[in-house]
Amino acid sequence: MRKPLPIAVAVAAACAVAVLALLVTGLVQRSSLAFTLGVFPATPAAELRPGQEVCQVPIAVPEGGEFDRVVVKLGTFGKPGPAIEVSIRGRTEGVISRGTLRGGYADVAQSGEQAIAVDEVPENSDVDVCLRNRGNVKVAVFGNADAASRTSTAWKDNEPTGNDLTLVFERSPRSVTSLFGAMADRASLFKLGWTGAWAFWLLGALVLLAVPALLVRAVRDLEG
Amino acid sequence: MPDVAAVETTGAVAASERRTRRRVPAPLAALLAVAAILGVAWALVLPAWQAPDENSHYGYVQSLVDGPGLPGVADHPMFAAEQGLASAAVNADQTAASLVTRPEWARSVYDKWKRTEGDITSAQRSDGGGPNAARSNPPLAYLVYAAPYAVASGAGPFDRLEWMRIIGVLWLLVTVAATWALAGEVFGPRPTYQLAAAALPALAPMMTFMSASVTPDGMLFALWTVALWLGTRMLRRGLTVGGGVAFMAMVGLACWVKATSYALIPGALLAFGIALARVHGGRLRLAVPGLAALFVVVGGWVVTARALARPASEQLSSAATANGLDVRELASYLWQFYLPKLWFMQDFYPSIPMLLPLFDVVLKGAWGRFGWLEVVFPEWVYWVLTVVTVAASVAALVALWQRRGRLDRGVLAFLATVMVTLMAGLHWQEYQLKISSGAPFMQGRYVLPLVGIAGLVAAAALRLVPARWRGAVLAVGLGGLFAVQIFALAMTMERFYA
Repeated sequence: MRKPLPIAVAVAAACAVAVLALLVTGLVQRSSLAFTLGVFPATPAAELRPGQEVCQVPIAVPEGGEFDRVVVKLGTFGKPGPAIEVSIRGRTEGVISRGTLRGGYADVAQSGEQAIAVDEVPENSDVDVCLRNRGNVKVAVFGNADAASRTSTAWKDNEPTGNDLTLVFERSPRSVTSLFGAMADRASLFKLGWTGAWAFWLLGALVLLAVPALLVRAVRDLEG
Repeated sequence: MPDVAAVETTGAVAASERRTRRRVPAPLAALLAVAAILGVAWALVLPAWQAPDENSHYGYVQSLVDGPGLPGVADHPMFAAEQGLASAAVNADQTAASLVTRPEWARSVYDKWKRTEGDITSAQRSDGGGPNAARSNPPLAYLVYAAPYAVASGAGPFDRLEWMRIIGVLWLLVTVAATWALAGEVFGPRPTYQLAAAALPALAPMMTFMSASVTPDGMLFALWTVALWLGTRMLRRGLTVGGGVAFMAMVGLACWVKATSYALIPGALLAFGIALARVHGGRLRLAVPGLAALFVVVGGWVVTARALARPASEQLSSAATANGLDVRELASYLWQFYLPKLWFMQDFYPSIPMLLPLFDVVLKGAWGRFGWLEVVFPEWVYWVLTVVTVAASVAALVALWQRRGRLDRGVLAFLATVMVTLMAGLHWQEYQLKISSGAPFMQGRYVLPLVGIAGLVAAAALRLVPARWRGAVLAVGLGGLFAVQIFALAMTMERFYA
């Protein structure tokens, strides 16, 4: 007996609500992260006296990773923090972007992190990110041991520091849903050699459409 | 002389019935398709080696296939050079359990890896096999994974890992089908209850996540659920030589997957004893093959392990021979696990802020902690899931009580013994670790071998619902599980790729 239709309708409705909730959450939830070196801020990684500079070298800006803010964690030794100049240098073109953090900010323990606006840096570029102390007091840039970011390292006074800086690259916030294409691209790397972003679009459709349809199919033949 | 037409008709009906019986019921087929889609989705979404101990399990298989053999060779590195290079290329170790870190997602780095991959030699694939975290596990699950690994041997490590994950999803399908069959034995062939039970392993995200990663746990869940079904079937339909041997061999086989499965043995012996007691005459003829099957299969592993100079049950023996027993201390530990700590008790969880280990460890961990357990739902979701779990458990108990006169107490005793033995083993292990080093041991995923019983609880709870509301409650349950599943997948995508 092909029954009962109401259960099938109820399952379809429940799944539709779930999918809708997911889409709304994805639209409401916004992310400003362009990309990150993934370095946990465990320790002061480079101490900068007035005029000194530290550079994280090299950094590959990934596809879809264009950014216009650099976020750092700074220790100020209990005093108002000095001005910090950020310069971003292309591997061949010299400085391609600049920005400055005004002095007077609080220590990492109180203020957390500092976001420094810079000119937009395009995706797919190889850059060095340098922080120069433009104030009169010392400052510490937080980071972790060198292994934290495998492909780059922090240099100071033409010497590797043995550490990596905690650098996070941001841009204007975007909804998580709008990032799905980029996420599919990224997820397709280091998987099966023949898959691409299309596989994740297909999986998305299967999970959000075929699974509810199958659940409806599952309850259609049940007894009352 | 028999009526030929009647014989032909009877024969045709019997054949048709056999065909019908053999055909997979439509709801189960749909549920299996759901589990397959979700399993493959998890297998592809999860970055390489971003599930608990997946690097060790992969290293075990690589050591089996490419050499030097079973892992644990003292002077070898934990993983082969190839795995080390691949792991570094995708930033796996840095990403593990660290929410601020992402796997590598730059195409330029991927292209560079593809060039590196081409230069990897066979020697760099066989120089692992050292004492990695999975070395003490029995080899059966890894031997199964060895098949897709070997078939994809010409491809790179990421392809091999993905194929192992995808083949592992088959165990999820076995778990779903076995839960369906188990519910059929307990409630009779009632698709509503069977669907309610089997939907849990098919849709609960932690089951899909674990089964779709490279781990012996997927096979463990499957064999436990099949064993629960075979044991229940034996009790419901009566002991036969074939049924007894199949059940006991399955229990033995589970011991070839993980030492956890020794917890099945007391319940299995109890079920076998009850089934035997229900037989009138010829008990020896039925008892010997079943017991021999258990003895031969479990003994086979013990003998093999001895021959290979490996521990047959390292976790079990280390826990059994550890720091002895202080009854008051053990009681205090158990109290604190399930109930709020009282003022005079020694704190067993001093360094981990938590409400109750039962909630923070078991319920949260069994419902969903992904990646290296760092990807979690918002707190309120766990509260909702806990309320639903408690409500379903209470409803199932009420349903049991209402039908107490018609219950098969043998089945109840079997399932309860399996559940209690597993929990007792896990508690004993954690208690020993707590008093020796203070380290926690328990994780929510450790209770997932009981997913078949959890499915029965869901179905029993549904049975308590008045018939006219049953469909609606089932629909809400399926929709709720689907919601939890898709949010879990989305959270995991966002954590690793956004």
